[in-house]
Amino acid sequence: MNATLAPTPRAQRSGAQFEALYRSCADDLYAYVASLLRDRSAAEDVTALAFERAYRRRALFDLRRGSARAWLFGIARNAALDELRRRQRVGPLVGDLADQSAQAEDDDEFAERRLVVREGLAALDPREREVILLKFVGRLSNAELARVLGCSESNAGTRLHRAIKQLREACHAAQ
Amino acid sequence: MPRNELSPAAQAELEALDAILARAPVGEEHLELAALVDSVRGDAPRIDPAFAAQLEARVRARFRRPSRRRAPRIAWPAAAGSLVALALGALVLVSSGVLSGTKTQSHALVPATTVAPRSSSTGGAFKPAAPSAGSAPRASTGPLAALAAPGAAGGAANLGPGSRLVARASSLTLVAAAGRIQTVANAVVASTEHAGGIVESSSVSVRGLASHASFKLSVPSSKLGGLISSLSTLAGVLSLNQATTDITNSYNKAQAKLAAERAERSALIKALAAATTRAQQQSIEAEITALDGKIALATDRVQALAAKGHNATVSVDVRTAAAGASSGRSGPLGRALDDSLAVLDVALVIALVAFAIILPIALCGLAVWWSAATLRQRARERAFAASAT
Repeated sequence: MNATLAPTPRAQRSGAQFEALYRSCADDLYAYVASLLRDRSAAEDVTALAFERAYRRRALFDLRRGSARAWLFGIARNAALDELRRRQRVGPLVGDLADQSAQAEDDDEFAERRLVVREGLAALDPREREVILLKFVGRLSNAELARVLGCSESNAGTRLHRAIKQLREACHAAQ
Repeated sequence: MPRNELSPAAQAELEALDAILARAPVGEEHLELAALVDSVRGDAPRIDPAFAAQLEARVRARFRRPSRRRAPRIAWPAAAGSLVALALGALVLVSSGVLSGTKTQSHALVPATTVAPRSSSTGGAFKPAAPSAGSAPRASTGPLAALAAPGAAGGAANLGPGSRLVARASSLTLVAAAGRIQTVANAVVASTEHAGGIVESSSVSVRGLASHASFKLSVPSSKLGGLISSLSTLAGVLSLNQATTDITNSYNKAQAKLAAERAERSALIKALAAATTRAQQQSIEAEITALDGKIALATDRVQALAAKGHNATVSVDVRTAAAGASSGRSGPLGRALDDSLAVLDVALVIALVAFAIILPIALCGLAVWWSAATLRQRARERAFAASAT
Protein backbone atom coordinates (compact mmCIF):
# COMPACT_ATOMS: atom_id res chain seq x y z
CA MET A 1 0.00 0.00 0.00
CA ASN A 2 1.24 3.44 -0.82
CA ALA A 3 2.55 5.14 2.30
CA THR A 4 1.37 8.52 1.07
CA LEU A 5 -2.20 7.27 0.80
CA ALA A 6 -2.23 5.69 4.19
CA PRO A 7 -0.04 7.81 6.42
CA THR A 8 1.35 6.32 9.55
CA PRO A 9 0.00 7.53 12.91
CA ARG A 10 3.24 9.44 13.43
CA ALA A 11 2.90 11.16 10.06
CA GLN A 12 -0.75 11.92 10.83
CA ARG A 13 0.21 13.42 14.17
CA SER A 14 2.97 15.45 12.54
CA GLY A 15 0.56 16.68 9.85
CA ALA A 16 -2.06 17.65 12.42
CA GLN A 17 0.53 19.55 14.43
CA PHE A 18 1.63 21.39 11.33
CA GLU A 19 -1.96 22.33 10.48
CA ALA A 20 -2.37 23.71 14.00
CA LEU A 21 0.83 25.71 13.58
CA TYR A 22 -0.45 27.03 10.27
CA ARG A 23 -3.75 28.18 11.76
CA SER A 24 -2.10 29.93 14.69
CA CYS A 25 0.55 31.71 12.63
CA ALA A 26 -0.71 32.25 9.08
CA ASP A 27 -2.25 35.72 9.58
CA ASP A 28 0.60 37.07 11.70
CA LEU A 29 3.25 35.57 9.45
CA TYR A 30 1.69 37.06 6.35
CA ALA A 31 1.39 40.45 8.04
CA TYR A 32 5.03 40.37 9.07
CA VAL A 33 6.27 39.28 5.62
CA ALA A 34 4.06 41.77 3.81
CA SER A 35 5.29 44.56 6.06
CA LEU A 36 8.89 43.61 5.31
CA LEU A 37 8.41 43.30 1.57
CA ARG A 38 5.72 45.96 1.11
CA ASP A 39 4.41 43.90 -1.80
CA ARG A 40 1.27 41.80 -1.45
CA SER A 41 2.00 39.37 -4.26
CA ALA A 42 5.58 38.73 -3.15
CA ALA A 43 4.35 38.41 0.43
CA GLU A 44 1.92 35.67 -0.60
CA ASP A 45 4.65 33.80 -2.44
CA VAL A 46 7.06 34.10 0.47
CA THR A 47 4.42 33.10 3.01
CA ALA A 48 3.52 29.99 1.01
CA LEU A 49 7.20 29.22 0.50
CA ALA A 50 7.90 29.58 4.22
CA PHE A 51 5.11 27.17 5.15
CA GLU A 52 6.21 24.68 2.51
CA ARG A 53 9.84 24.87 3.64
CA ALA A 54 8.79 24.44 7.24
CA TYR A 55 6.70 21.40 6.30
CA ARG A 56 9.51 19.80 4.34
CA ARG A 57 12.04 20.48 7.10
CA ARG A 58 9.75 19.66 9.99
CA ALA A 59 11.93 16.66 10.88
CA LEU A 60 14.79 19.09 11.60
CA PHE A 61 12.78 21.13 14.07
CA ASP A 62 14.19 20.88 17.57
CA LEU A 63 11.92 22.10 20.36
CA ARG A 64 14.94 22.54 22.65
CA ARG A 65 16.18 25.34 20.39
CA GLY A 66 12.98 27.35 20.52
CA SER A 67 9.28 27.25 19.79
CA ALA A 68 7.78 26.21 16.47
CA ARG A 69 6.46 29.74 16.02
CA ALA A 70 9.96 31.24 16.31
CA TRP A 71 11.30 28.57 13.96
CA LEU A 72 8.62 29.36 11.39
CA PHE A 73 9.20 33.12 11.63
CA GLY A 74 12.93 32.49 11.18
CA ILE A 75 12.27 30.57 7.98
CA ALA A 76 9.92 33.28 6.75
CA ARG A 77 12.43 36.00 7.58
CA ASN A 78 15.18 34.25 5.57
CA ALA A 79 12.78 33.72 2.65
CA ALA A 80 11.72 37.38 2.77
CA LEU A 81 15.31 38.60 2.89
CA ASP A 82 16.13 36.29 -0.05
CA GLU A 83 13.26 37.95 -1.90
CA LEU A 84 14.71 41.36 -1.06
CA ARG A 85 18.10 40.21 -2.39
CA ARG A 86 16.49 38.93 -5.57
CA ARG A 87 14.64 42.20 -5.92
CA GLN A 88 17.94 44.08 -5.59
CA ARG A 89 19.32 42.10 -8.50
CA VAL A 90 16.34 42.37 -10.81
CA GLY A 91 15.25 45.86 -9.80
CA PRO A 92 12.69 47.05 -7.29
CA LEU A 93 9.02 46.31 -7.67
CA VAL A 94 6.42 48.97 -7.20
CA GLY A 95 4.80 48.33 -3.88
CA ASP A 96 1.11 47.49 -4.06
CA LEU A 97 0.41 47.13 -0.40
CA ALA A 98 -2.94 48.78 -0.48
CA ASP A 99 -4.57 49.03 2.90
CA GLN A 100 -7.16 46.32 3.08
CA SER A 101 -7.65 46.61 6.79
CA ALA A 102 -11.02 47.40 8.10
CA GLN A 103 -10.82 51.06 7.22
CA ALA A 104 -14.53 51.40 6.89
CA GLU A 105 -15.02 50.27 10.42
CA ASP A 106 -12.54 52.75 11.79
CA ASP A 107 -13.58 56.01 13.27
CA ASP A 108 -11.72 59.12 12.26
CA GLU A 109 -9.63 59.27 15.40
CA PHE A 110 -8.42 55.69 15.06
CA ALA A 111 -7.76 56.15 11.33
CA GLU A 112 -5.71 59.23 12.08
CA ARG A 113 -3.73 57.43 14.77
CA ARG A 114 -3.04 54.54 12.42
CA LEU A 115 -1.77 56.95 9.82
CA VAL A 116 0.59 58.53 12.32
CA VAL A 117 1.84 55.14 13.46
CA ARG A 118 2.31 54.06 9.84
CA GLU A 119 4.45 57.13 9.19
CA GLY A 120 6.32 56.58 12.40
CA LEU A 121 7.06 52.98 11.43
CA ALA A 122 8.20 54.01 7.98
CA ALA A 123 10.62 56.47 9.54
CA LEU A 124 12.29 53.78 11.62
CA ASP A 125 15.48 52.00 10.78
CA PRO A 126 14.58 48.68 9.06
CA ARG A 127 16.01 46.65 11.94
CA GLU A 128 14.01 48.57 14.53
CA ARG A 129 10.88 48.31 12.39
CA GLU A 130 11.42 44.57 12.08
CA VAL A 131 11.68 44.18 15.86
CA ILE A 132 8.39 46.06 16.24
CA LEU A 133 6.72 43.91 13.60
CA LEU A 134 7.97 40.66 15.07
CA LYS A 135 6.75 41.66 18.51
CA PHE A 136 3.53 43.52 17.76
CA VAL A 137 2.38 41.59 14.70
CA GLY A 138 4.17 38.28 15.14
CA ARG A 139 3.44 38.27 18.89
CA LEU A 140 6.71 36.57 19.64
CA SER A 141 8.06 36.36 23.16
CA ASN A 142 11.46 37.92 23.80
CA ALA A 143 13.05 34.46 23.69
CA GLU A 144 11.43 33.78 20.32
CA LEU A 145 12.48 37.22 19.14
CA ALA A 146 16.06 36.41 20.10
CA ARG A 147 15.88 33.12 18.19
CA VAL A 148 14.64 34.80 15.00
CA LEU A 149 17.11 37.69 15.18
CA GLY A 150 20.03 35.50 16.24
CA CYS A 151 20.85 37.37 19.42
CA SER A 152 20.56 36.86 23.16
CA GLU A 153 17.23 37.27 24.96
CA SER A 154 18.45 40.28 26.95
CA ASN A 155 19.75 41.86 23.76
CA ALA A 156 16.40 41.25 22.09
CA GLY A 157 14.65 42.96 25.02
CA THR A 158 16.98 45.93 24.81
CA ARG A 159 16.49 46.24 21.07
CA LEU A 160 12.74 46.00 21.48
CA HIS A 161 12.62 48.67 24.13
CA ARG A 162 14.81 50.96 22.05
CA ALA A 163 12.61 50.35 18.99
CA ILE A 164 9.44 51.22 20.94
CA LYS A 165 11.07 54.39 22.17
CA GLN A 166 12.10 55.30 18.60
CA LEU A 167 8.58 54.56 17.36
CA ARG A 168 7.06 56.83 19.98
CA GLU A 169 9.43 59.60 19.03
CA ALA A 170 8.71 59.08 15.33
CA CYS A 171 4.98 59.17 16.00
CA HIS A 172 5.30 62.41 17.99
CA ALA A 173 7.32 63.87 15.15
CA ALA A 174 4.69 62.81 12.63
CA GLN A 175 1.80 64.40 14.54
CA MET B 1 24.38 49.70 33.74
CA PRO B 2 25.42 46.94 31.32
CA ARG B 3 24.55 47.45 27.67
CA ASN B 4 21.82 44.83 27.55
CA GLU B 5 20.40 45.38 31.00
CA LEU B 6 17.04 47.13 31.10
CA SER B 7 15.93 49.58 33.75
CA PRO B 8 13.06 48.44 36.01
CA ALA B 9 10.71 50.80 34.17
CA ALA B 10 11.69 49.39 30.79
CA GLN B 11 11.36 45.87 32.15
CA ALA B 12 7.88 46.69 33.42
CA GLU B 13 6.92 48.14 30.06
CA LEU B 14 8.04 44.99 28.22
CA GLU B 15 6.06 42.85 30.67
CA ALA B 16 3.03 45.07 30.05
CA LEU B 17 3.59 44.65 26.31
CA ASP B 18 3.45 40.86 26.68
CA ALA B 19 0.23 41.25 28.67
CA ILE B 20 -1.28 43.52 26.00
CA LEU B 21 -0.41 41.01 23.26
CA ALA B 22 -1.94 38.24 25.38
CA ARG B 23 -5.07 40.43 25.77
CA ALA B 24 -4.64 40.60 29.53
CA PRO B 25 -5.56 43.76 31.47
CA VAL B 26 -2.84 46.33 32.11
CA GLY B 27 -2.55 49.43 34.25
CA GLU B 28 -3.48 52.90 33.08
CA GLU B 29 0.15 53.86 32.66
CA HIS B 30 0.39 51.34 29.79
CA LEU B 31 -2.74 52.33 27.91
CA GLU B 32 -0.70 54.45 25.51
CA LEU B 33 1.40 51.38 24.70
CA ALA B 34 -1.77 49.33 24.20
CA ALA B 35 -3.03 51.95 21.76
CA LEU B 36 0.29 51.82 19.92
CA VAL B 37 0.04 48.04 19.64
CA ASP B 38 -3.53 48.31 18.40
CA SER B 39 -2.51 50.83 15.79
CA VAL B 40 0.39 48.75 14.50
CA ARG B 41 -1.66 45.57 14.44
CA GLY B 42 -4.63 47.36 12.94
CA ASP B 43 -2.47 48.78 10.19
CA ALA B 44 -0.79 45.45 9.45
CA PRO B 45 -1.62 43.94 6.06
CA ARG B 46 -4.40 41.36 6.20
CA ILE B 47 -4.14 38.09 4.42
CA ASP B 48 -6.37 37.80 1.37
CA PRO B 49 -9.15 35.25 2.12
CA ALA B 50 -8.75 33.64 -1.30
CA PHE B 51 -5.04 33.21 -0.80
CA ALA B 52 -5.61 31.97 2.75
CA ALA B 53 -8.05 29.33 1.50
CA GLN B 54 -5.65 28.27 -1.23
CA LEU B 55 -2.74 28.05 1.18
CA GLU B 56 -4.79 26.10 3.70
CA ALA B 57 -5.72 23.64 0.96
CA ARG B 58 -2.05 23.19 0.17
CA VAL B 59 -1.27 22.66 3.83
CA ARG B 60 -4.03 20.05 4.05
CA ALA B 61 -2.66 18.36 0.94
CA ARG B 62 0.79 18.41 2.54
CA PHE B 63 2.15 20.53 -0.31
CA ARG B 64 1.82 17.71 -2.83
CA ARG B 65 1.97 18.84 -6.41
CA PRO B 66 -0.93 17.13 -8.19
CA SER B 67 0.19 17.75 -11.74
CA ARG B 68 3.68 16.39 -11.38
CA ARG B 69 4.37 12.69 -11.35
CA ARG B 70 7.09 12.24 -8.85
CA ALA B 71 9.72 9.64 -9.24
CA PRO B 72 9.76 7.01 -6.54
CA ARG B 73 11.51 8.34 -3.52
CA ILE B 74 14.89 6.90 -2.80
CA ALA B 75 15.97 6.47 0.75
CA TRP B 76 19.29 8.22 0.19
CA PRO B 77 20.89 7.40 3.54
CA ALA B 78 20.04 3.73 3.14
CA ALA B 79 21.18 3.70 -0.48
CA ALA B 80 24.45 5.44 0.37
CA GLY B 81 25.02 3.06 3.28
CA SER B 82 24.39 0.04 1.07
CA LEU B 83 26.81 1.34 -1.55
CA VAL B 84 29.53 1.95 1.02
CA ALA B 85 28.96 -1.51 2.52
CA LEU B 86 29.12 -3.12 -0.93
CA ALA B 87 32.31 -1.26 -1.78
CA LEU B 88 33.91 -2.24 1.52
CA GLY B 89 32.84 -5.86 1.05
CA ALA B 90 34.30 -5.94 -2.45
CA LEU B 91 37.53 -4.41 -1.21
CA VAL B 92 37.75 -6.95 1.59
CA LEU B 93 37.15 -9.83 -0.83
CA VAL B 94 39.70 -8.55 -3.30
CA SER B 95 42.24 -7.82 -0.58
CA SER B 96 41.85 -11.25 0.99
CA GLY B 97 42.39 -12.92 -2.37
CA VAL B 98 39.06 -14.74 -2.43
CA LEU B 99 38.11 -13.39 -5.84
CA SER B 100 41.57 -13.49 -7.37
CA GLY B 101 42.06 -17.13 -6.42
CA THR B 102 45.33 -16.43 -4.63
CA LYS B 103 46.15 -19.03 -2.05
CA THR B 104 48.52 -18.67 0.77
CA GLN B 105 50.76 -21.43 1.95
CA SER B 106 51.21 -19.92 5.34
CA HIS B 107 48.88 -22.21 7.22
CA ALA B 108 48.42 -25.10 4.87
CA LEU B 109 50.68 -27.95 4.15
CA VAL B 110 51.46 -27.98 0.45
CA PRO B 111 52.66 -31.31 -0.94
CA ALA B 112 56.19 -31.01 -2.18
CA THR B 113 56.69 -31.46 -5.87
CA THR B 114 59.70 -31.03 -8.02
CA VAL B 115 59.75 -27.71 -9.79
CA ALA B 116 61.77 -28.09 -12.94
CA PRO B 117 60.10 -26.17 -15.71
CA ARG B 118 61.60 -27.98 -18.63
CA SER B 119 62.11 -31.35 -17.01
CA SER B 120 59.75 -34.23 -17.46
CA SER B 121 61.18 -35.93 -14.44
CA THR B 122 59.61 -35.53 -11.05
CA GLY B 123 62.07 -37.57 -9.10
CA GLY B 124 65.18 -35.47 -9.19
CA ALA B 125 66.14 -31.93 -9.86
CA PHE B 126 69.03 -32.69 -12.09
CA LYS B 127 68.58 -34.56 -15.33
CA PRO B 128 71.77 -35.26 -17.25
CA ALA B 129 71.93 -34.77 -20.98
CA ALA B 130 73.81 -37.97 -21.70
CA PRO B 131 74.31 -41.23 -19.89
CA SER B 132 78.00 -40.48 -19.43
CA ALA B 133 77.11 -37.38 -17.45
CA GLY B 134 74.30 -38.94 -15.55
CA SER B 135 76.00 -38.67 -12.22
CA ALA B 136 77.68 -35.38 -12.90
CA PRO B 137 76.47 -33.66 -9.73
CA ARG B 138 78.03 -36.28 -7.56
CA ALA B 139 81.58 -35.26 -6.90
CA SER B 140 82.71 -38.66 -5.83
CA THR B 141 82.03 -40.40 -9.12
CA GLY B 142 81.84 -39.61 -12.79
CA PRO B 143 83.27 -36.70 -14.75
CA LEU B 144 83.39 -34.27 -11.85
CA ALA B 145 85.67 -36.62 -10.00
CA ALA B 146 87.90 -36.71 -13.04
CA LEU B 147 87.90 -32.95 -13.28
CA ALA B 148 89.22 -32.74 -9.77
CA ALA B 149 92.51 -33.89 -11.14
CA PRO B 150 93.72 -31.22 -13.58
CA GLY B 151 94.65 -32.57 -16.93
CA ALA B 152 92.47 -35.68 -16.67
CA ALA B 153 90.88 -36.84 -19.84
CA GLY B 154 87.24 -36.22 -20.66
CA GLY B 155 85.01 -33.76 -18.74
CA ALA B 156 81.45 -32.99 -17.71
CA ALA B 157 79.41 -31.77 -20.63
CA ASN B 158 76.87 -28.92 -20.40
CA LEU B 159 73.34 -29.89 -19.56
CA GLY B 160 71.29 -30.74 -22.57
CA PRO B 161 68.64 -28.40 -23.89
CA GLY B 162 65.84 -30.35 -22.17
CA SER B 163 67.54 -30.68 -18.81
CA ARG B 164 67.38 -28.21 -15.97
CA LEU B 165 69.30 -27.92 -12.74
CA VAL B 166 67.10 -26.53 -9.98
CA ALA B 167 68.10 -25.48 -6.46
CA ARG B 168 65.34 -25.95 -3.92
CA ALA B 169 64.94 -24.49 -0.44
CA SER B 170 62.13 -24.90 2.05
CA SER B 171 61.35 -23.48 5.46
CA LEU B 172 58.92 -25.06 7.83
CA THR B 173 57.61 -23.77 11.14
CA LEU B 174 56.08 -26.29 13.51
CA VAL B 175 54.10 -25.68 16.68
CA ALA B 176 54.27 -28.16 19.50
CA ALA B 177 53.42 -28.28 23.18
CA ALA B 178 56.21 -26.96 25.42
CA GLY B 179 56.88 -30.44 26.80
CA ARG B 180 57.22 -31.96 23.33
CA ILE B 181 59.89 -29.68 21.88
CA GLN B 182 62.72 -32.11 22.62
CA THR B 183 60.73 -35.08 21.27
CA VAL B 184 59.93 -33.23 18.08
CA ALA B 185 63.56 -32.12 17.71
CA ASN B 186 64.72 -35.71 17.97
CA ALA B 187 62.13 -36.78 15.44
CA VAL B 188 63.30 -34.06 13.01
CA VAL B 189 66.84 -35.46 13.15
CA ALA B 190 65.61 -39.04 12.72
CA SER B 191 63.39 -38.13 9.77
CA THR B 192 66.26 -36.29 8.08
CA GLU B 193 68.62 -39.24 8.43
CA HIS B 194 65.89 -41.59 7.24
CA ALA B 195 65.52 -39.47 4.10
CA GLY B 196 69.26 -39.69 3.45
CA GLY B 197 69.91 -36.11 4.45
CA ILE B 198 72.16 -34.49 7.00
CA VAL B 199 71.64 -31.95 9.77
CA GLU B 200 73.97 -29.10 8.86
CA SER B 201 73.23 -27.16 12.04
CA SER B 202 70.81 -27.36 14.90
CA SER B 203 69.83 -25.47 18.02
CA VAL B 204 67.49 -26.78 20.69
CA SER B 205 66.50 -24.78 23.76
CA VAL B 206 64.12 -26.22 26.36
CA ARG B 207 62.86 -23.44 28.65
CA GLY B 208 59.17 -23.98 29.27
CA LEU B 209 56.97 -21.82 27.06
CA ALA B 210 60.08 -20.17 25.61
CA SER B 211 61.37 -23.52 24.30
CA HIS B 212 62.31 -23.65 20.68
CA ALA B 213 64.41 -25.63 18.24
CA SER B 214 65.82 -24.75 14.84
CA PHE B 215 67.52 -26.88 12.22
CA LYS B 216 69.22 -26.42 8.91
CA LEU B 217 68.91 -29.64 6.94
CA SER B 218 70.33 -30.82 3.64
CA VAL B 219 68.53 -33.61 1.86
CA PRO B 220 68.62 -35.04 -1.66
CA SER B 221 66.20 -33.09 -3.80
CA SER B 222 64.36 -36.25 -4.71
CA LYS B 223 63.60 -36.85 -1.02
CA LEU B 224 62.48 -33.31 -0.19
CA GLY B 225 58.76 -33.95 -0.64
CA GLY B 226 58.85 -37.04 1.52
CA LEU B 227 60.83 -35.28 4.24
CA ILE B 228 58.46 -32.31 4.35
CA SER B 229 55.51 -34.68 4.61
CA SER B 230 57.22 -36.60 7.35
CA LEU B 231 58.15 -33.46 9.32
CA SER B 232 54.63 -32.09 8.98
CA THR B 233 53.25 -35.04 10.91
CA LEU B 234 55.47 -34.34 13.91
CA ALA B 235 53.56 -31.21 15.05
CA GLY B 236 51.13 -28.55 13.88
CA VAL B 237 52.31 -26.71 10.79
CA LEU B 238 52.34 -22.97 11.32
CA SER B 239 53.90 -22.09 8.00
CA LEU B 240 55.57 -23.69 5.03
CA ASN B 241 57.47 -21.82 2.36
CA GLN B 242 59.10 -23.39 -0.65
CA ALA B 243 61.39 -21.72 -3.15
CA THR B 244 63.07 -22.95 -6.32
CA THR B 245 65.86 -21.36 -8.35
CA ASP B 246 66.87 -22.49 -11.81
CA ILE B 247 70.69 -22.65 -11.83
CA THR B 248 71.08 -24.41 -15.19
CA ASN B 249 72.67 -21.39 -16.86
CA SER B 250 75.14 -20.85 -14.07
CA TYR B 251 76.07 -24.53 -14.15
CA ASN B 252 76.52 -24.52 -17.95
CA LYS B 253 78.68 -21.39 -17.84
CA ALA B 254 80.87 -22.86 -15.12
CA GLN B 255 81.18 -26.07 -17.12
CA ALA B 256 82.12 -24.17 -20.30
CA LYS B 257 84.72 -22.15 -18.45
CA LEU B 258 86.20 -25.31 -16.97
CA ALA B 259 86.32 -27.03 -20.36
CA ALA B 260 88.05 -24.02 -21.93
CA GLU B 261 90.68 -23.90 -19.20
CA ARG B 262 91.30 -27.61 -19.52
CA ALA B 263 91.71 -27.29 -23.29
CA GLU B 264 94.16 -24.46 -22.74
CA ARG B 265 96.09 -26.65 -20.31
CA SER B 266 96.28 -29.46 -22.88
CA ALA B 267 97.64 -27.03 -25.45
CA LEU B 268 100.25 -25.80 -22.97
CA ILE B 269 101.34 -29.40 -22.24
CA LYS B 270 101.83 -29.95 -25.95
CA ALA B 271 103.78 -26.73 -26.18
CA LEU B 272 105.89 -27.82 -23.22
CA ALA B 273 106.78 -31.04 -25.00
CA ALA B 274 107.83 -29.09 -28.06
CA ALA B 275 109.87 -26.53 -26.13
CA THR B 276 113.56 -26.49 -27.10
CA THR B 277 115.09 -24.16 -24.53
CA ARG B 278 115.09 -24.20 -20.80
CA ALA B 279 113.62 -20.71 -20.67
CA GLN B 280 110.67 -21.71 -22.82
CA GLN B 281 110.01 -24.74 -20.62
CA GLN B 282 110.07 -22.63 -17.45
CA SER B 283 107.69 -20.09 -18.93
CA ILE B 284 105.16 -22.72 -20.03
CA GLU B 285 105.38 -24.53 -16.71
CA ALA B 286 104.58 -21.29 -14.91
CA GLU B 287 101.55 -20.77 -17.11
CA ILE B 288 100.41 -24.34 -16.45
CA THR B 289 100.77 -23.82 -12.72
CA ALA B 290 98.66 -20.68 -12.84
CA LEU B 291 96.12 -22.42 -15.00
CA ASP B 292 95.92 -25.34 -12.58
CA GLY B 293 94.82 -22.92 -9.87
CA LYS B 294 92.07 -21.56 -12.11
CA ILE B 295 90.96 -25.07 -13.04
CA ALA B 296 90.72 -26.00 -9.37
CA LEU B 297 88.52 -22.98 -8.67
CA ALA B 298 86.30 -23.73 -11.67
CA THR B 299 85.99 -27.34 -10.58
CA ASP B 300 84.92 -26.26 -7.10
CA ARG B 301 82.34 -23.94 -8.64
CA VAL B 302 80.92 -26.71 -10.83
CA GLN B 303 80.84 -29.11 -7.89
CA ALA B 304 79.11 -26.56 -5.67
CA LEU B 305 76.44 -25.89 -8.28
CA ALA B 306 75.92 -29.57 -8.88
CA ALA B 307 75.57 -30.15 -5.16
CA LYS B 308 73.12 -27.30 -4.94
CA GLY B 309 70.98 -28.94 -7.57
CA HIS B 310 71.30 -32.35 -6.01
CA ASN B 311 70.62 -31.40 -2.41
CA ALA B 312 67.78 -29.25 -1.15
CA THR B 313 68.07 -27.18 2.02
CA VAL B 314 65.35 -27.23 4.64
CA SER B 315 65.08 -24.81 7.55
CA VAL B 316 62.92 -26.14 10.37
CA ASP B 317 61.76 -24.01 13.27
CA VAL B 318 59.88 -25.61 16.15
CA ARG B 319 58.01 -23.30 18.56
CA THR B 320 55.81 -23.88 21.55
CA ALA B 321 52.05 -23.71 21.12
CA ALA B 322 51.87 -20.61 23.34
CA ALA B 323 54.40 -18.76 21.19
CA GLY B 324 52.63 -19.78 18.03
CA ALA B 325 49.15 -18.95 19.30
CA SER B 326 49.63 -15.27 18.64
CA SER B 327 50.27 -15.80 14.98
CA GLY B 328 48.42 -18.96 14.02
CA ARG B 329 46.18 -21.81 15.08
CA SER B 330 45.91 -25.39 14.04
CA GLY B 331 42.68 -27.17 13.26
CA PRO B 332 39.83 -26.05 11.01
CA LEU B 333 38.19 -23.92 13.70
CA GLY B 334 41.44 -22.19 14.51
CA ARG B 335 42.17 -21.56 10.86
CA ALA B 336 38.65 -20.23 10.34
CA LEU B 337 39.19 -17.90 13.28
CA ASP B 338 42.51 -16.79 11.82
CA ASP B 339 40.87 -16.14 8.46
CA SER B 340 38.09 -14.15 10.11
CA LEU B 341 40.62 -12.08 12.03
CA ALA B 342 42.57 -11.50 8.83
CA VAL B 343 39.43 -10.30 7.04
CA LEU B 344 38.57 -8.05 9.99
CA ASP B 345 42.13 -6.77 9.94
CA VAL B 346 41.84 -5.87 6.26
CA ALA B 347 38.42 -4.31 6.84
CA LEU B 348 39.85 -2.22 9.67
CA VAL B 349 42.71 -1.03 7.48
CA ILE B 350 40.27 -0.11 4.70
CA ALA B 351 38.02 1.66 7.19
CA LEU B 352 40.99 3.62 8.54
CA VAL B 353 42.09 4.60 5.04
CA ALA B 354 38.53 5.56 4.14
CA PHE B 355 38.25 7.56 7.37
CA ALA B 356 41.55 9.29 6.63
CA ILE B 357 40.18 10.29 3.23
CA ILE B 358 36.62 11.10 4.25
CA LEU B 359 37.44 13.12 7.37
CA PRO B 360 39.40 15.91 5.63
CA ILE B 361 36.81 16.01 2.84
CA ALA B 362 34.00 16.24 5.39
CA LEU B 363 35.82 18.98 7.32
CA CYS B 364 36.43 20.92 4.11
CA GLY B 365 32.78 20.46 3.15
CA LEU B 366 31.69 21.64 6.58
CA ALA B 367 33.92 24.71 6.34
CA VAL B 368 32.59 25.51 2.87
CA TRP B 369 28.99 25.03 4.03
CA TRP B 370 29.55 27.23 7.09
CA SER B 371 31.24 29.94 5.03
CA ALA B 372 28.46 29.84 2.43
CA ALA B 373 25.77 30.04 5.12
CA THR B 374 27.53 32.96 6.82
CA LEU B 375 28.00 34.83 3.55
CA ARG B 376 24.39 34.18 2.55
CA GLN B 377 23.12 35.51 5.87
CA ARG B 378 25.30 38.61 5.57
CA ALA B 379 23.97 39.18 2.06
CA ARG B 380 20.42 38.88 3.41
CA GLU B 381 21.12 41.41 6.12
CA ARG B 382 22.69 43.79 3.61
CA ALA B 383 19.68 43.43 1.35
CA PHE B 384 17.42 44.09 4.33
CA ALA B 385 19.33 47.20 5.33
CA ALA B 386 19.30 48.40 1.74
CA SER B 387 15.54 47.85 1.44
CA ALA B 388 14.93 50.96 3.54
CA THR B 389 16.39 53.22 0.91
